[in-house]
Amino acid sequence: MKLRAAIFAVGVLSLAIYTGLGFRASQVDEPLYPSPSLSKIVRLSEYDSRLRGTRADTDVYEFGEPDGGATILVLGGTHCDEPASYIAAYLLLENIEMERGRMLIVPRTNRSAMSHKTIGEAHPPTFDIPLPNGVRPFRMGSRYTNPLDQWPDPEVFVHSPSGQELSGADSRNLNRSYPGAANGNFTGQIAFAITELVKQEHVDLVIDLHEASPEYPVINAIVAHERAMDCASMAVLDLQLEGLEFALEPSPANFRGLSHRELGDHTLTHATLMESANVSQGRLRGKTNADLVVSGLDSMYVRAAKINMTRVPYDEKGIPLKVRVGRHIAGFHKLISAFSQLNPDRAAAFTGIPTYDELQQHDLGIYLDPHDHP
Amino acid sequence: MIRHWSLALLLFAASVQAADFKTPVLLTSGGQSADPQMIKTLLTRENIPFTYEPLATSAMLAGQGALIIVLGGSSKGLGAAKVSAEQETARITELLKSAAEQKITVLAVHVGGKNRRGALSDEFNKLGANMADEIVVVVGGDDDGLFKGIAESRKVPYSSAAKIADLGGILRAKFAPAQPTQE
Repeated sequence: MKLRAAIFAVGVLSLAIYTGLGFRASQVDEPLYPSPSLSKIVRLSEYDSRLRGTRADTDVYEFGEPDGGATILVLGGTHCDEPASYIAAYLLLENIEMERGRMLIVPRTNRSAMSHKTIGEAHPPTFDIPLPNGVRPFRMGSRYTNPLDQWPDPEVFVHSPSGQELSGADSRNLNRSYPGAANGNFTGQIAFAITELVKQEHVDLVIDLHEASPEYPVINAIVAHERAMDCASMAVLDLQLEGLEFALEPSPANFRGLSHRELGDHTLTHATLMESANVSQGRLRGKTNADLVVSGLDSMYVRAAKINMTRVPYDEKGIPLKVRVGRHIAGFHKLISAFSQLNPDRAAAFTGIPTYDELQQHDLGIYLDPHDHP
Repeated sequence: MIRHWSLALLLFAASVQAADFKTPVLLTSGGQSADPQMIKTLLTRENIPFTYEPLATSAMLAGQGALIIVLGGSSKGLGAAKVSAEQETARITELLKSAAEQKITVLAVHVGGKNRRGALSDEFNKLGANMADEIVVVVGGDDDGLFKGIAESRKVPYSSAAKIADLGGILRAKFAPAQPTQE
C-alpha cells in the first residue's frame, strides 16, 4: 500500500515538475539578435508606466537616428498564433541597416499572448526553422492576452470609446482594443501604450503584420486607412509588377478597434496592415502540428481549394512560412518605397533586408542564423 | 464556314466604334470599393490629368474630357460613404446619362476580379457596362463573359488585362498618345 502511494506521489510530482518547467519556459522570451545598427531598446512601459513589470511590457527595438527621414513602426506578434507576423519582424530586426530615417520594431506586440496558447486549437508550443547548421526553435502563442493577465472575460466586450459590442473573448484581442484607454483593461492598456508610442515618436508609417485563414475574405492583402491609401495602392501595384498578388482593402470606418482604423483616426500616422494566408489558423485544417506551421501544407485545404472554398490559390505546394514571411517582407519594401516617393522630404532608406525572391532562393534560416550575430 | 466567321468578325470589328478619349479625366467609383484607388495611382504615374471623386455627380462633368468609372460594389465602402445601394445606383445612372448627353466618353473599368462579382457588385457592373463607351476588365472578373457579352451586344470596344498593373499601358495609350519625337 505504502509502495503504491509512493509510486503515485512520485508520478504526480514528476508531472507537476514537467508541466511546471514547461510553464516557466513559456514565460521566458526567446532570444533575439538585433543587427549592429540597433540604436537602443526601450520598453513599451516607457509609453504607459502601468505596464511596467507586467507580462505586456515588451521590447521596442529602435534602428537609425532622427535625421529628418521617416519614422516607421513595424508591429509583429499582435496575434501570436500568426507566426509569419513575428518571424518577419524578427528577420527585420536581425538584419536591417538604416541609412535614413528611424525604424521601430515591436516583434512581440502582445507579449502576454506569447506566454500561452489558445485552448482547443492544438497549436504546437514551438516550431523549428532550419538553419545552415542546425535548427532554431520559435515559440507559438495565442491570439489573445493570457487569461492570467486578464480574467474573466465579460459576456460582451464593449469597445471604448465607440461602444461597439463584440464577443467577450475579444476583450483580450489587442487588434480589437485600439486606441486603448488610460483606465482600460489590461489589453486596452497595451493598445493605449502603442497609440502613445505612435504619437510621441511621431511615427509616419505603421505596418501591422498579420495572418489569417485561407477562407477569410481579407487575405493576401494590404489594408489601409484613408490617409495611407495612396501609399498602399502604389505598393500593391509595385507588388503586382513583381508577380505578387495583393488586394487593396480599405479600413472599414464602422468596424472599430483595429490598428489601421484607430491609429489612423487618433494619430497622424499612415496606418496599414498586411495579411498572409496561414492554414494552421484555418477552420478546415486537419492534423495540427509544428510541420503544418512551417510547411503550410494541409491536404484538407487542397481539397477545399478544388471546390472553391478558399480565397487564395492553394495546391499541393501549400503556403510555406517562407512564402508568408516573404510576402510581408516584400510588402514592407514596397510600402516604405511608396511612402518615400510620396513624401520625398521624409524618405526612409535601408539595406540588409532580402527581397521576396532572395528569401525563396536562400530560405529563412540564412537570415535568422544567430551565429551571424556574435 | 471559316470564311463566313472571318467575315462576321470583320463586320463586328468594323461596327465597333473606337472611343475617343480626351483629358482631363473624372475618375469615380461604381459601387464604392477601394478599386478606384488603384486607377488613381496609375493615372498619377502616367501623368494623365484627372480629378478623383468617389461620389461624383453630373455637376462635376463640366470641363472634363472623359469619365472613368471603376465598377464593383463593396458593402463596407457603401457603409463608409454612407450611401445605400439604391442611392449609389441612382447616382451612377444620373452621372452616366449626363455624360452621354454631354458626349463625354465613358470608360468602364473592372479590376476587382471575382471578389467584385456577385449580387451587390453585378448591379453596378451591369449598369456601368451598359452605359459605357468602352469596357476594360482585369482577368478574373469576367470568367462568365458578362462584360464581354454586354460589349458585344452593344458593339462597344472590350479589352482585358492580365493584371491591374498592365492597365497603365492601356490608359497611356488611350489618354496620353505618344508625342512625336524631336530628332
